[in-house]
Amino acid sequence: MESRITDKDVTLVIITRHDVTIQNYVKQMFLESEVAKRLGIKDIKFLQVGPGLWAYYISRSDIDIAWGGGPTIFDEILRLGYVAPLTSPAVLYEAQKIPDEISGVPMKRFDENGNLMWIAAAISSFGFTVNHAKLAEWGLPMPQKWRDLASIELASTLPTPAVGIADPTKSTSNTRMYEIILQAYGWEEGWKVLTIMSANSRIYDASDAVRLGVINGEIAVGITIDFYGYTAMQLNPDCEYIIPNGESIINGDPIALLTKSRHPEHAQAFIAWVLSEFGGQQIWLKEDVNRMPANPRVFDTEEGAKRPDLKERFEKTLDLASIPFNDTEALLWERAMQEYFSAVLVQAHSELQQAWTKIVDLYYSGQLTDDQLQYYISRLGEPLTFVDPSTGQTVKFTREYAISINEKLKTDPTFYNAIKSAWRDAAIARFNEILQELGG
Amino acid sequence: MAGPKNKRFFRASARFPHISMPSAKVIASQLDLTLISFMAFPLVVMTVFLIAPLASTLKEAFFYHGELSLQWFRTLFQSKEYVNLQGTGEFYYIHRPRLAPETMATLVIRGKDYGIILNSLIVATSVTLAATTLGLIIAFVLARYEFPGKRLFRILAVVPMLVTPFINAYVVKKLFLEDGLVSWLLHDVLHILPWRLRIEGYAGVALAQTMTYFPIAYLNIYSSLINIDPSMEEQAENLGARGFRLFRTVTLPLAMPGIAAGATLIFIFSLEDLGAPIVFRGSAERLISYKIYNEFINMTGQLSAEVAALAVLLLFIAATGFIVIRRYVSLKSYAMISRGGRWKPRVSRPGIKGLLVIYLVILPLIVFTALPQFGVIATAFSKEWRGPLPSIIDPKYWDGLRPEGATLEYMIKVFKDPSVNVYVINSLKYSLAALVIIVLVALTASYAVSRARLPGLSIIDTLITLPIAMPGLAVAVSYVFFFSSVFRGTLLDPTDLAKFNPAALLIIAYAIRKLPFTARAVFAGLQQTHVALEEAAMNLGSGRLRTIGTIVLPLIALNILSGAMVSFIYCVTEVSVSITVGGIKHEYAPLTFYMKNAYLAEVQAIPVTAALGVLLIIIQLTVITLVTLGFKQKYAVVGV
Repeated sequence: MESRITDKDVTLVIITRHDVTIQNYVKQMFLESEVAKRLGIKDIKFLQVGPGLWAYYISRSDIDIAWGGGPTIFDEILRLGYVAPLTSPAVLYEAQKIPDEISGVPMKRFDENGNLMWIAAAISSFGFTVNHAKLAEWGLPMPQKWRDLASIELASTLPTPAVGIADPTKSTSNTRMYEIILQAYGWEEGWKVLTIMSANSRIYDASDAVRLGVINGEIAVGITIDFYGYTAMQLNPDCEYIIPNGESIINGDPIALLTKSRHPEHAQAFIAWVLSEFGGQQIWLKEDVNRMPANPRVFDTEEGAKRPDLKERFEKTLDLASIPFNDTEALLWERAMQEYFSAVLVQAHSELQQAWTKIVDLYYSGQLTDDQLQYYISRLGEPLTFVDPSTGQTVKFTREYAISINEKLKTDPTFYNAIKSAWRDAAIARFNEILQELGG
Repeated sequence: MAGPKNKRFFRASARFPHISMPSAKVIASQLDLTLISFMAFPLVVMTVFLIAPLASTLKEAFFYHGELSLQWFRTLFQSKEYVNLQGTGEFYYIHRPRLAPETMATLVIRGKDYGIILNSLIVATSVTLAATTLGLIIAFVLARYEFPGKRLFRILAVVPMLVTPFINAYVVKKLFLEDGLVSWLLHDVLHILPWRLRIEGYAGVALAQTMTYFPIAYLNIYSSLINIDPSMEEQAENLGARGFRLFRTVTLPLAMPGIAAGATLIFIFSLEDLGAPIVFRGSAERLISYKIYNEFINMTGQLSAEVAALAVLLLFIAATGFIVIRRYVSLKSYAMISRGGRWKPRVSRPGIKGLLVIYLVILPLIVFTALPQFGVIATAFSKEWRGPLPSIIDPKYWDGLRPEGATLEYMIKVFKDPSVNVYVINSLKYSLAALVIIVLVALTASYAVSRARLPGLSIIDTLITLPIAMPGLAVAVSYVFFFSSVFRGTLLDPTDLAKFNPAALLIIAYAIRKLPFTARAVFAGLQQTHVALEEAAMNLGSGRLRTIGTIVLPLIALNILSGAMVSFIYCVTEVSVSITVGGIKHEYAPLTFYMKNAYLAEVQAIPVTAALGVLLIIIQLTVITLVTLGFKQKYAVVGV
């Protein structure tokens, strides 16, 4: 259907990863705005679905806008051809207020013709939230770097885990953190860090559950996106959000117009409103939202002046020393990483944690040297060698292999199920073998 | 209405319908269009919406690359994730943080991990044993002893029956954290335990389920015990049996039907429960129910054949449990003369020792099992809950007589916040729609079964009582396979995420699953209504349909109403199908899905979930009061 700016009684459909709190503010504030009334936008419908389902939904229904969930998912739908260029003067005007890059990370994505395809509406950093009371109770050092989450000190509480992480197939923010770790330390070393971090952890099935675990003191440290950390600080003063020293990255959290939008003009008016310091940017300032705006001018508004704390954090976030992160690289193996992580470190977690607890016991009772500890860490964490169900050949889960199967995992359910079982079984076999060697 | 004497007669004849099976001629003369359609309607509904979906799941599970095969089951049993005889982890351990020796140690009880299938069996068996034992003890005390405060005991003992999905398991988890109420009492106050205590993992799941399900055992056993002919025990006493010997050799075997009925249901409920595994996630994921639920959460298009196999396995275990326990009972069933009569029950007054046991052991036990529901209410009205007590009852928060820790914020949110009450409205809509189907099927089926004296009618009876023993998750999985193949590409197709609207599937699933409660009440009503009244009307020329409308319906209206209200409660509080099929499209999701999501996802939302729990408690209490006091009907006890 051809859209006309004169259409009235328009309902915009937005696919989003933003939670209900944000959705409610958006509805409340936007529907009462001048622009909504002038354009006759009478309602907004949110479709809040898991990251794995975005492409499916977008391909099958007329959704106007995609919003929130991190750049990877937006680059993916862009690659699939679901994103339309932002062209309206209002959007382009607001877009000027947002820097093209922050700390070397792009806040806007352009296509080869220079069209603006998506733009960050908020920024976020990644790190961990600690519960100081629990760290003290368990005598744990304060973690400073990602690697510290895989330390033998944080293992000292096992079999009661001190760390919390989430299954990457259910959390885009945790996915991004694992990608940061793999890029910061390299593929092989990165997997060792991820493996031991997971062995130190309680595994939750959503990133918000990790945050809840820290707030309740079920765990002492949880990996979280910044605004989860800030909310945790408000709910429990024992909590603090930590940005890993020199190892974080800033993410732009994008908004984009979709090709199947039935009301592209109205949709772009909404996007312009979201980017404006007098419109949607003020949502980030709400006490129960606490997010970093992409448009810094919001701090100059009346509402912005009420949140000097957020402004201070914002400036601190911009000053971060961050790692050079390569989005394109991450996208090449993202799905393979998620599924491998979920098969090896989540489904086989029971066995992993048992073997690691045995190692930790022996280490703390003086029966393992530091060298032996490193040896077992390598054995636990080295990417698996297994039989590829489609070729029957024995292969190792290298970066190249991950890239080679990344697309197949999305399109071939038989292969997907078979290789996940193969990974899980190989992982269980490895962890049990190590346990038996150690006399467990 | 028939007098009490007649009533008993008709009950007995209904129980033995084969006694006077009519001839073919009589059968033919009975059959009219109304009766035929009354038989056909429930048969068609149950076949299309229960049997056919189950068949499509069986097909999925038993076919591999187009051929009949056990491959999918082999896959399950060969993986250590599913079956691991050695087990991983420790059943319990003393947690001493290695780097903080001065910190008080904690006794952590969590249960070993034997793989998904074995874990489910172990948890369900432990819950069945524990809950049945508890139910038996409490039922025996309440049925056989008279003591001050007994009424209160009886009320407290059924409090856990008030369904508050997720949030009651959350309260159990809270109670058993190392800084929770139980640890505080046992360690800090009473100094019974040298360590702090935490219960989590599979042990936590089993504990929460035992506390929730024990009243099912209690109610079934209680009704068995008060129906035992006192002369049986008196004869045993005359022959010299006393005390525990009397109990073991006479009372217990006679109470077996109640024990078995309760145990069967508890076994199945535990097996398919999702509330406790979801709350204890992070340490108890390897359970069949959680695995199936997890597959729904990750669902992109079709469910895998592995899930079909898992659902079939769940069904198989539930059915086996059902048959084994029932078979055991029928072997052990003893005939009693004048069973079901009203006689002076054998009730005695306990001595001092007995009273001490009742007030110091039984009462704390009953109060303890009711704690989750009280905890739900306290959470809903508390500003926060840190440490042993929620702020509304924590003395620290009291300013003189003003409860500073109390708040109405969350209750108000439930009624006023449209982002919350839309789910309440969804659930009410779906449940009311389901009730229409429930009443129609229950009425037609019960009428056909009780009035048409035809061979083979028991199949209808079986079909409409079957769902009570059927795991809801098996229904959920079946619906995905069935509706996605038969109604492909329509709004009934759960795998077509763009078009799908779960309303119809939820309504049908609620109707099928919760039908037995109404069917039982209607059937009881029909049994109590003398058939001669209808015969008189029909002899005078009234057609069957008109007779039903003018004679039968008015006589059993209260039965229908009370049964429907009980079904309604169970629809509104339904979990298995609601959070799986019902969660595929969030905006159409029912209340229990929202409770799960809010509980899991939003830090500030736990008290809101509790407030919804309070709302459910209010609805349930209203119905119970109306049914028992208003309509003077028996509240349908869950039983097989």
